[in-house]
Amino acid sequence: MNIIANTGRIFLSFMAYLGGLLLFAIKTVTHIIRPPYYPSQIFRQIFEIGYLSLPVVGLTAIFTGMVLALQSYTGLSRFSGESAIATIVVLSVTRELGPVLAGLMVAGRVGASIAAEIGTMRVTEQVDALVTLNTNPFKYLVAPRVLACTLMLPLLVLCADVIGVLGGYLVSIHKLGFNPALYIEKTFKYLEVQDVMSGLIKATVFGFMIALFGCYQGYHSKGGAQGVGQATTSAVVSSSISILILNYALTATLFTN
Amino acid sequence: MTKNIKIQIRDLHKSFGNNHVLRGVNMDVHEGESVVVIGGSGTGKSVLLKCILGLVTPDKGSIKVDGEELTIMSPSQRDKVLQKFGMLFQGGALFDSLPVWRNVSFDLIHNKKSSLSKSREIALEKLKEVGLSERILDLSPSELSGGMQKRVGLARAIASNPEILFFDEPTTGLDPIMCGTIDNLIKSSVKHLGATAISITHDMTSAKFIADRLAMIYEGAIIWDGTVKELSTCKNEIVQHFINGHKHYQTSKK
Ligand SMILES: Nc1ncnc2c1ncn2[C@@H]1O[C@H](COP(=O)(O)OP(=O)(O)OP(=O)(O)O)[C@@H](O)[C@H]1O
Ligand SMILES: [Mg+2]
Repeated sequence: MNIIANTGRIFLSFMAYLGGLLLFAIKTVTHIIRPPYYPSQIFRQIFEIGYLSLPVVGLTAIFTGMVLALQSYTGLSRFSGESAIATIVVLSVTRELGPVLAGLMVAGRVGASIAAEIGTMRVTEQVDALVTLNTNPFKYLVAPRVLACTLMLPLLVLCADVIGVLGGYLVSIHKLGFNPALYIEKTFKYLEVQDVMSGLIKATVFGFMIALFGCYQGYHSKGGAQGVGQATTSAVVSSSISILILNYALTATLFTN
Repeated sequence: MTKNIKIQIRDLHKSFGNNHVLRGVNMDVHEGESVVVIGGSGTGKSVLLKCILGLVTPDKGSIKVDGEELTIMSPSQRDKVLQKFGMLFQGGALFDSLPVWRNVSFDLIHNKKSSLSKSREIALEKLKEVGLSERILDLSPSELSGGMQKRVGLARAIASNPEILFFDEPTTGLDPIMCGTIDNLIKSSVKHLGATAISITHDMTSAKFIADRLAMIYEGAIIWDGTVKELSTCKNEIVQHFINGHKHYQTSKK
């Protein structure tokens, strides 16, 4: 009996959480669309989220591309299929690893910092102060971050795609002894616009989710430093999990053929 | 007093879980009046102000500002009413991502569409009123002492000349001379700018100086209110105990 009651309670509180998150998302989107806007806030977030994430995303991408080339070589050489390395690298990176790994890295970096910043503002009453200064915290804090993250993640993933493919290229040429011209030709031979696009669409969704969780957790944090710490952890954990789940859902429903 | 009632609170209740903080607060504040709310720590003074501003949603009761009921308003109507308010938070609540002058002129820059140079001028003027110098304009709030932060918060609250001013412990953490400056500032805001003010303070000297009327909050309700003169002759034991708390403590120790 107790088990059923507990399961029910957990289920209900989970649904309440989802409902709250959905309302928060709807409110955010309305505030992104409706004026007034805060261009200076938006540009600042574009810089902080987009530009400053570039090193971490680039580093992830180049090593992923490199290791991908090595691993596929090990597997493919067992049945003399080495010539497929270029195709495997480019398809894996653009369709899958680019968006997911960049998403996870940005969730750790940006999701955490959004949650910590808004969370601190919440517990030190800065969010309340915004209201008394006739500024809607959703417009001033949440909307610019969600907008910037949604726009920037696809761009970051585009960079990750290029850098990842470059990583694969470097290893293939210098370590595995491929012919550069041939490798490049192979890279583009089977690549379709749809492969890159599907990755970018995923990235857009992930970007939205990362900022949404960061803002949601930060906005609802309470109880001082400990509360902010918890908010930060939950923001990173929940956005990472949602990236993994949504990645499967999107791939399964939209991008298989 | 024959003036209009600016803020009217009726039977206001608010609890946090089992903690029933406000238990039926009734209060009238007239236009151009300075009311000081006194009461023990944790009795809900800050919560009362936050309820009026809509930062905390009351469980029950009515709050009217200029005759308009706040508790049933739509968010956009409420935003309009909130433009009349300026608030100094107990903890300052300065934006630590912005320099001091942008903190002070935040409302002017974002809502009143003042130019940046004009806003900076106004910020400086307000900072001087609270006894701060030009030097700190470009500092970040975290580089200021606690008392300086409080005064920047005060400058921010009065920067756009709101009709209604809330001061949550404006002089806590300031030296006696600075307390006098701030008390004078609050008094002149009310006298010369015609603002209506509610202040919270534990300092009875400044309470008596600022207040046209005092209200004592105890166990979630206003149990006594009256002028400064009435305070000294008031027979209410709880009030007497509160304002003479220190003496009582000493005599009971002997
Ligand atoms: N956001 C909140 N969540 C839960 N409890 C709260 C919250 N805000 C205030 N309280 C509780 O409400 C009570 C009154 O708090 P409040 O801050 O109004 O006290 P106060 O009268 O301003 O005291 P002080 O003079 O120390 O500032 C306290 O018991 C506090 O624990
Ligand atoms: Mg207080």
